[in-house]
Amino acid sequence: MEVLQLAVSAIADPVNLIYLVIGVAAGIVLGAIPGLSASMAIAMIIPFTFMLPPVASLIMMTGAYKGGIFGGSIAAILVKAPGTAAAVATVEDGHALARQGKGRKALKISLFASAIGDTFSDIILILSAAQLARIALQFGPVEFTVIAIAALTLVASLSGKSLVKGLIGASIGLLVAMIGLDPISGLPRLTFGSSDFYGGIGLIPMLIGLLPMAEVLIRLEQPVTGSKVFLPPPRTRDDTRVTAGDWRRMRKPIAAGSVIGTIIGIIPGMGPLLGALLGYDAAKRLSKKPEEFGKGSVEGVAGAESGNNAVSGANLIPLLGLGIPGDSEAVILIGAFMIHGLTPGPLIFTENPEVVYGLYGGLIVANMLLVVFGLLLIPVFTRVSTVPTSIILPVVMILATMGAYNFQQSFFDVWVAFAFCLIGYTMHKVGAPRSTVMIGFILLPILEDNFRRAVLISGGDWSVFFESTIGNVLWFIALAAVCASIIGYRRHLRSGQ
Amino acid sequence: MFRRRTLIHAFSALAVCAAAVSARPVLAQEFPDREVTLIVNYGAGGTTDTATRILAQTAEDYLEQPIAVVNRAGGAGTAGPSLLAQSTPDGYTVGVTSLSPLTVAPHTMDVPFEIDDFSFVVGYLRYVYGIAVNANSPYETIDDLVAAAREGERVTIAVTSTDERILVENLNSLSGVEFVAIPYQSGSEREVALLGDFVTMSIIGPGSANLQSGDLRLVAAAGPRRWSQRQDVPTLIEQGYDTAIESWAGLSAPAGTPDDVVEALREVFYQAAQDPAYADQVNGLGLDAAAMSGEEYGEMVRNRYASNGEWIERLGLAAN
Repeated sequence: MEVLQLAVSAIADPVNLIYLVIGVAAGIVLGAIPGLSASMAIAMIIPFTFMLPPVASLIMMTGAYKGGIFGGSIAAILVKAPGTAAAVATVEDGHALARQGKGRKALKISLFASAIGDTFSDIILILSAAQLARIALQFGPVEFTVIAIAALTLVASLSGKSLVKGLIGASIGLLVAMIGLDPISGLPRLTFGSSDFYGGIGLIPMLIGLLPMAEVLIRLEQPVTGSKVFLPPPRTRDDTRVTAGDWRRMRKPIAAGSVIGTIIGIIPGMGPLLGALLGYDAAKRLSKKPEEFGKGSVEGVAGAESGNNAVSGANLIPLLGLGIPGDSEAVILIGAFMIHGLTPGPLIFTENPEVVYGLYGGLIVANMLLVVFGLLLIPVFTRVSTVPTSIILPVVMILATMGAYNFQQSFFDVWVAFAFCLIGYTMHKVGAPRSTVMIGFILLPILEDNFRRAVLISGGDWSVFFESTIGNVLWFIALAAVCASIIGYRRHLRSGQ
Repeated sequence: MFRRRTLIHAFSALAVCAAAVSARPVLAQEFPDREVTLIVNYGAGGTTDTATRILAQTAEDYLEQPIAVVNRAGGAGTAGPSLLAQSTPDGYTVGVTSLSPLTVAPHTMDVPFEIDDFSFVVGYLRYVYGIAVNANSPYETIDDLVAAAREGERVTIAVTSTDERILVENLNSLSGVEFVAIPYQSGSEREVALLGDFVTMSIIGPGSANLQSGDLRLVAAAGPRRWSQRQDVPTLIEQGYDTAIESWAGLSAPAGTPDDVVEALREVFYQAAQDPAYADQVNGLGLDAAAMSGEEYGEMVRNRYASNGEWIERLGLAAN
């Protein structure tokens, strides 16, 4: 009860509430701009938070993070330009819905799925952060290696028509992720002798080129027929809202996405994009109409969006329980704790309970605010659909270029974005799915670092990969996922003929 | 917003008082007549970034001009110095030139700068290192760990940088056993590995929450002196292994910056690094504020560059 009191009193403080409102609203707007990611939204807010009391600054930043993740989906759905990496899994289905005049429906589905996934993971956090954090410690190099291998089967579910093309995309992603400094020796590799490549290829500039920029080229080619506006208007009222039928279809994907996202969030180093992709994959496997996926599936959007937002709450479990940040946004949050002389970790629950419980209160209220602001802002953002294509495309291109530069104020990243724009365009032309590039890219570091570490720790003894219980369970899951993918793929081929 | 404005007023009032009390002479030269840019070579929110921002904030009062901090992370901390080396040498661009990217990286990779590309301004932050084991570990001292390795146990140690690897190799040659260095990408990654018992020990810093909570145990301070927070734990040297990591963050201007401007910068930043306001804030974060003159810092960089070069060659880590 004391906990509840602390949480309520923190949130009832008008100062805290005002900063939370600003955080959520700023997050949505910044996240919605292609090229400004959720972590940049937080980074832009940091300087303002230095002067605030700890609870206000932390809830403002977490509010901005939640808002930013949803904002990223707005741009993904309406202009196929994901504002954050986490929205990649939403792009195909969300934008396909928008092209059918169902943009508002897609945004509302995304909003509700995000808020539900987020609230679920926040509740798990509040009930058991300290205990659950210990689970993360069961995952060592062997377990991470097997997780990465199992997650590679995502390629099959995102490949669409051609598994071979999907695998080629994933291989491109794996190869690009190898550029930079070797994780074990620290020596440069695949850098073509240029120090610009030492830092590796950034996820954000690559994403900006591959999706929004390439999309502009693709749209440029399409002949203008009849209407010059960017997106068609809704045909019926049902196109603008979430119907009872939609809710029925969303139930399972949201439940699956929330649970999967939460598990991914507890394990440090996985991140919201993986949560979204796994949520999407689960939604597809559970669906009665898997053939709709990629062409505008309500379930796909719900699974992906609940998956990525569930990661954000659960990410605080290792942060508060162990003092370990789960992803790049959490790293920035640690900085915010430290500025105020607080060290997140096992002791914070006893030493600064008011901060922890104030943060908890803020998280729950932030989810409510997200829904309120989301519903208020959706009509504003959907106006973009009535803007002529001839205006939207150049604006997207400019924002995307700025976004690539802004990633670390470097022109090199702009060239990276341009290069991936051409790669993305070519992939589209040959019918290869671009999202598989992202899968390869995010999984390579997890796979490589941990595989090499496992072998190094065991002294070259490969049997180590089959000696841990969790590892063996994960192997089984990986095997089952591969078999399920093959069976599903065969069935798909047969039904296609 | 009300609150923020009040704070700004409070801060400026304090700054005015401080300026009035100490009544520092205005620098004779016209430098600086506008904003100075400071390039941090690591990302926002990290240890180096946080300490550097506090230093910049403190130095603004002495410089009497604003200091804009920009981050240029990447390439194991070398991207920042690379940019700095190519900047206009007029004193309006300075940057963090910490020891590791300046004295280790040039041996392991091609970097577009040399040590002579910098005029060293100040050393302001000492990184603090220690060696920790899991609280459930039977080992209490380095001797225990050496004995275990001698009995044939595979003793692993999580590290994140080449400096730390050099320390491990030093320990190995001093003790005659082999501790196996397992590289990790970040301090939190190696901490998780130690908490989960995937490695025997790990290099660690005083900021670790798990050290404070007792889930991890410090077995040795790995720097030249004991930790101020943990006076009870002896250094490696005191335990009979004559080695230590000493790593610093310092500031530099590009070489070719006029001497009087460099002098002005040295004075300003040395005063800021000695300012109790800086030291208190930085030490409060579990870091170790320090002040070292630009000349000394430059000398340390050159010495370390040479000794690291020998080690890296011996370890077979050098770029070909």
